[in-house]
Order: sequence, then C-alpha cells, then structure tokens
Amino acid sequence: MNWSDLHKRSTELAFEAGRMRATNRADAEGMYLQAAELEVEAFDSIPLDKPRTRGIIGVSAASLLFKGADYRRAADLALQLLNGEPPTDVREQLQGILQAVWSEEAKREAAVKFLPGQVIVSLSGGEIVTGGAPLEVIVSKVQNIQSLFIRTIEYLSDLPFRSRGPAPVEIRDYCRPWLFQAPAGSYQFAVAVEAPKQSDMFKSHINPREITDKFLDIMQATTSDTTERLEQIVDREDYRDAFVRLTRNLSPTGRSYDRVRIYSYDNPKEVILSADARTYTNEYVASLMPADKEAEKDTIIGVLRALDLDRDWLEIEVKDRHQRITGLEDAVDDIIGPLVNREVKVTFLRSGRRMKYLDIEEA
Amino acid sequence: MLQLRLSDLHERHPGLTPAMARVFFEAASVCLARHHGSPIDFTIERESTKTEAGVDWLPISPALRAAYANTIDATEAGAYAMCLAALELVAGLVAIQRAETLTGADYYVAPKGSGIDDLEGAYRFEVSGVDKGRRTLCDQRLRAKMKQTQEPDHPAPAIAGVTGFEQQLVLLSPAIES
Repeated sequence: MNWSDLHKRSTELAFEAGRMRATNRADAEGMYLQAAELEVEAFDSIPLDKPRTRGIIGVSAASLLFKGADYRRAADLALQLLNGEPPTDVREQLQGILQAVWSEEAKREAAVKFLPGQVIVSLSGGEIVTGGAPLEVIVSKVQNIQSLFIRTIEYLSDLPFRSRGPAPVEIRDYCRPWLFQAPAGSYQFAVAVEAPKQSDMFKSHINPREITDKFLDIMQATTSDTTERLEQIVDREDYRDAFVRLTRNLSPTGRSYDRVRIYSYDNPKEVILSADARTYTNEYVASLMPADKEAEKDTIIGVLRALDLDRDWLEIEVKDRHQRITGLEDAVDDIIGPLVNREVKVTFLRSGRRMKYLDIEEA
Repeated sequence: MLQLRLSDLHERHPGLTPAMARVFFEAASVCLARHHGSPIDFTIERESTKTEAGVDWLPISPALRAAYANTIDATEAGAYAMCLAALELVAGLVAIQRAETLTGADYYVAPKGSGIDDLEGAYRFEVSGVDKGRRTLCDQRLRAKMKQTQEPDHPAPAIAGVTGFEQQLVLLSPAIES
C-alpha cells in the first residue's frame, strides 16, 4: 500500500471516531489510536522531497495520537517533526500539539480530577504579544469566561436566574480557570471543568460532559447567527440576555486585543470573536430597549467609579465630574461588576435631571 | 441551467469517503429543507463572478430530521456539501485529502484529475455555514474565514467558502496564498 491508501483507511476510522466521541469516548479513543497507527505508517512512506505533504500528514498523525490519548507518543512525534525544521505553519501546529500534551499531563498530575473537554481561550492582536498581555486584560477576561461557564452550568441545572451575588458554592467549585503558556502570536488560557463530587447537589440535573458543548453552542449562537438560533439554544429570556451581555464584554473593542478564539480539543466547534461580534451583540441588546422612548435615550462615556446595586445606582467619572445614574434594577452583578474602574459607555433615559440606566458596556 | 451536485460527492471528490459524503449530503438536505422546497436555485459568488445553479436534495423523513437535530453541527456539515459542490462547479477543484488537526480536520482541494498522492500544491479549504440570517452575516463569516487562513498556525495556501442556506448563496474566496 502506498501512503495515500494507508491515509484513506486512517481517514475513514478518524471520521467515525469523531462521530462517536460525543457518545462513547472510550471506544472513540480506541478508534483514533487505530487511525493514528495507519497515519504514522502513511507518514513514514511519504518521500522526503514532499515537505508540505509530510508536514500535513505528520500533524495529522500526531493529532490522532493525541485524540487517542497516547500523549507521550504524540509529543515524541511532534518533537521528531520539529527537529526536521518544518514549514512555519506546520511548526505552529506541532507546538500546539506539544502544548496540549503538557496541559493534559498537568491535569493528570493535579490532585483534583477534571472532565474531558477543557475550553481554550486565545487573545491576539492589539497589545497582546507572544505569551504576554496586560494583567488587567487577562484577569478581566478570565473572570468573564468563568462567569459564562458558571451561567452555563446554572442554566443547564435549571436554577432560577441570579441577578445579585455570587453563584452557589457548589456551582463555583465546578469550574476553575487554568492558565497555560501561549503559542506564538497570542496569549491563551484554558478553562478546565472539575469532575463533580459524589455529594454534588446538581448531579441529578446535569450531565457534566454537556457543559463544554453547551458553552460553545451558546457562544456561537450569541455572536454569529440569528436571534431565533439563540432562542433555540437558550430558551429562557433572562439567561439569554445575560449570555449576550457577557459575550459582549468578551468581544474586542479594538484597543487591547483584536480577536478572541475559543475552541476545544474535544469539539470541532470554534468561536471567533472579532469587532463584528460586538456589533451583533449590541444590536441584540438595543432590541431589548424601549423603542417608544428613543428621543429620551442618550449615552455617556467615562470611567465607572462607583456601583451600588442594592441602592440602585452607579457613578461615572467624566472630566473629573461624577455623574450618578439610577434605576439599575435590571443590571446583573457579574456583567456590570468587572467593569468598575474601566472606561465604559452607559446608555440611559433622560428624564429632567434624572438619568435612568438602560445598558453598560466597555468603551 | 447548471446544477450543484450534492449526491455521491465521494465519486468526484477522492478525499471524501462514502460515509463522509453521505453525512454531508444528508445534513445539507435537512438544512435546505428548513427554508425551501426542492428544487431551488442557488447563487455562487467568487471574485465578483456570479453563477446560478439549481440544487435538489433528499426527501426529509422524521428520522433524518432527528438525526441532524443539532442545528449548529448540521449547518457545518451541510455547508461542506454545498461549498465542495460549488467549488467543483465554478473552479474545477475537488477534495483530494482530509487531514486531522488538533481541533478538527482540514480538507485539501486541487484541480480535478490531480493526483491524490501529493499535497504540495493543494489548497486547504476552510468552510462555514449560516443557517438563517442576512446577507451581511455571510459576508462577515467569509471575511473571518479569510482572516483565519492567514493565522500563523493555519496551513497556506487556502480557499474559504461560506454557505447561506436561507439566502440561497455560496460565497467562495479567491485563493489565499501564504
């Protein structure tokens, strides 16, 4: 058999394994390993004078070993290929595989157990450099992703919508953000979901393995498609609004970063947030505002200096003057809280001297 | 009238297995039937050239609809059938190989009749689908895909394709070189 015959057989197995993975992970991993063996053989049969072909099939073989959970061989093959000075794109992919192996090994060595299906969040452009980013940007985005994850778990658990205070401790313990080293050109971190404990009060309501899938579905629906799609994915209006506003907080404003890529090693879905995502989420939020009071609607840009959700007000500093905006009853803690001390745009209704809150986003 | 041929893609695209071709065709059928009755006309746009082509699809049974109930997954799979058939029709390019990546798989396309043993000159084909929504959504998606093909970890050269199922539209980018 020549390399393409071996590769074709490998492709058939890999495609079937991909379809099986959501329902039977163990069998899928076994099938991926069979595909990997054939792909390694195919790679070894490709003539040395075809560097691009060797690079593509080499990445494929290492990826299949990774998906088959043979992390050591995946790393060994990636290192072997990197020693051969591959083309830039192949090198970047091999480095990604190595990084994924290190993440999996770190998870295995940790005292706690994690579910399969961590989500990787990669920021790039703007002020982001290879493996580095302004601390406040990263801290705020990690919080943002964690809020989205917690909301996803609350939604899947069919809990009442929470507009004030933190989520129950059982929910918060469900997921923890883990920071990992970045591949070239971006800063990235991973969110791994901790396996539920035996006493978990939510275990009867939720299949933990759904969390990552649902999280990616929600992210896709909030940014890149129609309201109907979003309504299909999230059937509760309160949660839907919170997801859209949290996603908007994550979308680039163009200053600190230009692009957010959210993906998983366990799921082919991928979410890209660019400036378009902010436009789309803003359109959605605008559609929720009272249409009959357009003339009274106004916006103000300044730094959010103070916030008291219990007393229903926030204060914006504009040119050394503080302006108070009231009527925050619809504001949600984990959406507005992370914006304190950041430059924000507040949309409000003006009624005489009173400014009634409608919406807030990072400026 | 030209035809977008969605059935038996594996017979013309050597990079597809019969199982892949079946999944793509079934998914495309479910996505098309959400908005239209078979047959309809689609517009394929590439480098300011517009091509009109007819398309027909499988009758949709409840079982088939249930098998592709996840709209997001079905739209992505269906977009592969539409975009590959469109690329074949307007550019004479067919899928010659599929290769795994860490997060999914890439498809490589080359002129019809090219050997499948050589990926040196093949284009990576980046595909996306839009179930429902405005034309601008398809344009945005194509721009995002084209930008993605220029990321350092994405193999070049590449071509991007977007199918708008409700819009009856396939957008194909020009070849994007490294």
